Amino acid sequence: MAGDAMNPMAPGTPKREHGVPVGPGERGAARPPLLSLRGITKSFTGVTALSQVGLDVREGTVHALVGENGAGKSTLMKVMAGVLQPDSGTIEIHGAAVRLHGPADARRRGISLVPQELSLMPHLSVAENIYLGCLPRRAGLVNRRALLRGARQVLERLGANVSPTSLLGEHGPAVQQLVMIARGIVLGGKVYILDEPTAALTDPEIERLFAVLRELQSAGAALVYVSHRLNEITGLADEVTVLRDGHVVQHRAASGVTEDELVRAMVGRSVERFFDRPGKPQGDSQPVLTVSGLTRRGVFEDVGFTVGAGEVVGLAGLVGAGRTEVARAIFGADPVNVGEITVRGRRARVRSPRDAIAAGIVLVPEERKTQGLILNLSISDNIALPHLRSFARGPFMRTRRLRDHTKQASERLRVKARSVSTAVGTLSGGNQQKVVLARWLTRQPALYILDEPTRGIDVEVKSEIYREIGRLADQGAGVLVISSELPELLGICDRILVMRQGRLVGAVPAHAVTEHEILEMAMGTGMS
Amino acid sequence: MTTTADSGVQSGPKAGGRSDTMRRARSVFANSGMIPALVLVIGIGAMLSPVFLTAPNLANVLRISAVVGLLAIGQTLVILAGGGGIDLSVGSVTAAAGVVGALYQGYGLAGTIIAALATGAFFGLVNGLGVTTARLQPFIVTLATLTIARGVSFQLSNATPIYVSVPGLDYLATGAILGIPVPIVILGVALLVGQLVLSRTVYGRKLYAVGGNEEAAYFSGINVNRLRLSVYMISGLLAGLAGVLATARLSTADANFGTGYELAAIAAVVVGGAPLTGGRGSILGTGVGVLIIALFENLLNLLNVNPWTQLMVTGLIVIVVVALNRKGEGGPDRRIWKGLPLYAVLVAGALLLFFVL
Repeated sequence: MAGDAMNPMAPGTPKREHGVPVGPGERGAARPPLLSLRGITKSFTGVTALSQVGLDVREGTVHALVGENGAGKSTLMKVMAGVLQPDSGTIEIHGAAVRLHGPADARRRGISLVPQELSLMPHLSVAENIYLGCLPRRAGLVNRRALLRGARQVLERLGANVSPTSLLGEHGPAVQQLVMIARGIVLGGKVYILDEPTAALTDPEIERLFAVLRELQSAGAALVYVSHRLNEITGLADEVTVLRDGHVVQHRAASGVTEDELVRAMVGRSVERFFDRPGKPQGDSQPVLTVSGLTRRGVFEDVGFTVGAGEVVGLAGLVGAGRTEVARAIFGADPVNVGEITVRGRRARVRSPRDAIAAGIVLVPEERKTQGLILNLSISDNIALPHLRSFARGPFMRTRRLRDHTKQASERLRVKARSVSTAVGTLSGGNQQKVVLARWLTRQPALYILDEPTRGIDVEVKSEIYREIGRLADQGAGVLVISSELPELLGICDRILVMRQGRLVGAVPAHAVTEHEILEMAMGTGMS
Repeated sequence: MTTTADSGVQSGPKAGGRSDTMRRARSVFANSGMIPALVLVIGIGAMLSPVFLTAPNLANVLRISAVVGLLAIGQTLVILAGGGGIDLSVGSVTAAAGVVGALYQGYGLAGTIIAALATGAFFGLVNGLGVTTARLQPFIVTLATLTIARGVSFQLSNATPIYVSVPGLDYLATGAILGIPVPIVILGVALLVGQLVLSRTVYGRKLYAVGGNEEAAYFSGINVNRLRLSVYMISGLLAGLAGVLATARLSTADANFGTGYELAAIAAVVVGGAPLTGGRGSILGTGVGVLIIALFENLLNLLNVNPWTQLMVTGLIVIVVVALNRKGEGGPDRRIWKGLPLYAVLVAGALLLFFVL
């Protein structure tokens, strides 16, 4: 690899301690790294996303960043690109400490982010997209000649056979990605941060992208490469940094590293059983939910599984594997092409959440603020929302009964608020999540689907939610939990289903599987 | 453990507390918010004109504002239900309902009223289907209905006012119940029923839910489309009723009637404290909004301000009141501060107008 000569780290360097920044001094390198992060810490409402992260990105090298879902990669990328401000720590460019005031400032300083979800204007031409925000001007008008010439040059350099005047929306994700990279080039970019750049590409497109990246590298650019596809990393990167729970747990040269070593470094959090339900029958309980052949073309295919009464089933997989989409389909929020859903032995025709609720399926959605709650309404109104009818006499609400009931439900989950008339928008994330869950308790549904039920919630409330999940199962409900935190799934589930690229690739009892094994299934490594 | 959890709960106990009291202050302001403005208008009126605060004058103002008031009630529901909801067609539909009612005057009072209400409900159904099943933008659908309903009115009446003589109809304009003129009674009942529906019924709770967060409401099993369809139907029905009242007052059905009334209704809703984004607002607020605008116009009339100046001043009032009532922009002081450039430009425009011309 081109960058190996510049990389003083020998293969197999032992693990570094958490978060010790890699100082330039111990490298003995003559020039300070292009971009360095030192002691970067960032937390969101009490949840630490990054803790004392240090990272050096050198000229002409590719630095791969790996870690599980929620390990802190996205946050770190956003800090590097100026999207987020760190709580503490410094960012240095060529050894000089800088403050990045927003993404525009970062771009001016030569740092370009190529996000997974591309933010471009499909109705503008390729050339205009490349020069977005810095269109060449003459006499106050756009200098179209210079625009087209510049765009043609940079596209040629990237080996893209694309007309600069064509509309961007006519092209696929590969070209759009190149346009994002081209934007960085015309701004004189030095650091490129690529987030899962190959996720939406075909094999030949990936080859071409890699050629572009090598070209940038040999021109002296520094690349930060984030990917779940570990096999790409061994072929492309010079250095690898592994994140886990917001800490740097390993930093090493990429040459000679095996996928297995990386996976081993990524996992390794302690698994704690949050509750034990001894004597719970395995497998012979009546299924409350049977899904078979569920397919939504292009999203997930032929998904089939059961959830037994009193069983907690986890749905594991990487972000984008189709877990949320399957949950939404079972709940009737998205249409399916084929497939059957059976609830307690009865075939359910689910065309809307309304049907699903009537059949006994309820969902606690992924985004509690946008999908779960009506923020300006009270706790009471939010809990009563799906069953307003049952609190009414004729058309009128029986306010007293509603308050009594919702008070009971919110007390069972220990929602902390002055009263049930408090607007849910004023509650903390954990309490908001409890309200969403409390909403469904009265129904005693057959199946609860909980999508990322503890995301962004502090530890104490998390354990309360785990206990509630256990209680729901004890009462005979089936619970399907989607979570990106594998230790969480291992800690609360009886059985874990693993999805990869829209397919169910495994179903394992939670007590007989390790985080490592699940991650291998989810990533598709170690299958050979 | 507990302390870290607590500090994680909110971005800081102080900040949380302050935003809480502010929120409460704001909600008090939102619920009663426009009543101080109403009191202010009445106070100023009483000072400037001896006629203003007399029973005949007030009764007259209310009687005239009954039509716009009914439209504003429907408009409140449509706006409240969110999703960019707005009903631009109500003015034209009022005219169309009046004309169709007049054509059915041979069937007596019941025939006239039923025909007018059916016309309103029909256009409401068109709007509702356009917004829900056809998934068109409310602004565009109701703009189209505005044009269509006006065209229908002219077509059916041959563009000439139809004289209406139905026994009992004039009671709706000139009659009185317990000394209160009938149009005022109808408006009052509509306001009360509307407020009751919003605050006390299942339907009302659902409306606030759908307007506050459509997706969360959908995920709770609420039939969003049916609810949205129903608000346009109600708006249309109320426009039909307004058409009956207008015909009764004028003894004619005129295809030109109600031009611009949709905007007056929207202004009343907005002045009453409901944001156009939906999810907030109340019928009582809208009632207060109707009163503020109506009394203000009446006052200008009494002061012999010419009608064109009246238009300018009424527009100004809408801007100022809404700017003061804007939510999510911090406290009142901050809102006034942020509104300053706007007021400066308006004052500059006024000065230019008077000194240059």
